Amino acid sequence: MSRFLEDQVVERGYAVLKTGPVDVPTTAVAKALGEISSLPGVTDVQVLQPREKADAPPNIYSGAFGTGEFPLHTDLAHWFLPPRYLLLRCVVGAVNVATRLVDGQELVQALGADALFRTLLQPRRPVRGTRPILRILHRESQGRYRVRWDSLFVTPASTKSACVFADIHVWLTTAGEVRINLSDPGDGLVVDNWRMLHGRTAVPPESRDRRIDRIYLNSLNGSQ
Amino acid sequence: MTAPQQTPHEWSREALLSKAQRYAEEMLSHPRESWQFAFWSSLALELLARAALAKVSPALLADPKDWNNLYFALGNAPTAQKFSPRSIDISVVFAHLQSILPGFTPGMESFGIVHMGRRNEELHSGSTPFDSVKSSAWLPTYYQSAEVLLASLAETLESLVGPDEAEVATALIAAANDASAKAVTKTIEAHKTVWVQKTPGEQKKLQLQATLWATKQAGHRVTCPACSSDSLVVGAPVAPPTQTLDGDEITETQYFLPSRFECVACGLKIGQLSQLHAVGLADTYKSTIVYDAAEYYRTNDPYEDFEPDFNEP
Repeated sequence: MSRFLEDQVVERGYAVLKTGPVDVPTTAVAKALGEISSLPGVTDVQVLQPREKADAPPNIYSGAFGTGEFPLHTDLAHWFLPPRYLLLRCVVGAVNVATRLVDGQELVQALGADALFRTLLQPRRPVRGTRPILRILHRESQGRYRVRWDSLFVTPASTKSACVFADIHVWLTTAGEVRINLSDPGDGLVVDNWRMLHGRTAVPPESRDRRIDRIYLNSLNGSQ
Repeated sequence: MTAPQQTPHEWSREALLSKAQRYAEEMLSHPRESWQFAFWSSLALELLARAALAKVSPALLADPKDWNNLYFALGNAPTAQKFSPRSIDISVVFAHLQSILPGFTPGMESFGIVHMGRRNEELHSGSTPFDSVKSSAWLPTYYQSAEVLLASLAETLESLVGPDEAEVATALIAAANDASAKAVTKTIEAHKTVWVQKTPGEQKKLQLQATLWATKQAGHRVTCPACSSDSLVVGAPVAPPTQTLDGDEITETQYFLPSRFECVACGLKIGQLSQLHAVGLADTYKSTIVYDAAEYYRTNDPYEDFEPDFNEP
């Protein structure tokens, strides 16, 4: 299972899996897949449920987009090093709500690695009292890249970077998108958060009870 | 295993290099001969130098007078009261780099210290040291130093200043490195010798002709290093033109890097950037053209009084 999962994530940037009955805790599922990432001040398992804009604080996506479509993004793009992987696990399914995925490698091909590397950004708000200058693209070993993107939580850190931001916005409107439906309890999706941009389609009224558990992973079993 | 991290260490290679790039972009937003260009360049260079040292280890940046600085550099949070991390002086950074990086020469170290000295003078005194330096006097060494520092970080000039400016920087470095270019001074001396043998009347006539010629021809007017007549340098643009609208007029400015020099009074010609650099004629220059707005926006349409083309209706 783990080997297959790792191969899928390396090849496509994500993997779809069945995680078993939901009475098995999501932490147990995650531990079987890899090492759980514990973030300061955040519970290991975060429950994602649709919320109206008026019912949500402005520091989360629901506070900005409500039950509308969530734009493509990297989770915690405003952190210096965002979580490596995320596991989404369906607890209450919705057939008409999908997780959107776009491959960041295609963004690199479209706009060029050099231009993206030179694009500087900052968190829109201070993180631990500072707004560090970050890059959209980091060069990893073996010619691989680490991509980050968020249209809400980060802002361009220079005039030239603002131009690339605009280009990315335009590119994303035409990017090839994969949609995954976590429609049945136990449906799971592991996403490489350093490669894939993800989002959510709008939630129609009849699907407001959708519930997804999310958990971050530092590594997948069998991977580096 | 890779745990998420909220912020980079402020003395990390990544944090320092990203900020250096931001300053370099600010530098490039100003004209090359302006004090702002030189000022922002000095800020970028300091961060670049510190990034290069941080690549070896952020611990090298810690001021050794207080062990808490080293503790902080190693990624810990000192508990000392009123602690504010203090790093070593930039002159010490350059000295360390000169010892550590094989390509970082004593000349680069000296340049860095002088450039930082000007920066400090700019910031902490009423004098204006960056107003009185021509870019040709420091920019090639600046880019040479930056190139070495960036190479130690596995980066290139392009990653700091972008592809267009990196091309200019490479040309400036090549020109500065071309020792044979200094031979041009002999050519100038030969023209000077011939010039002084002319009668004052001949010299005056030739100088008037040269002034007239330099006014009519395209290029940037300079003083001939051999005969002091008006002469011209011409070159290639180093940045796209920028237009500003003022009333009914549009002013278009564009910066050029010289590649040729000519003086019609004494006949001196110089055809290489490296030679121009050797005699102080390699400063970028600004070309300014003022257009009437109507003229600027006039379309190049030979049938502008007719309806648009439309086969047969």
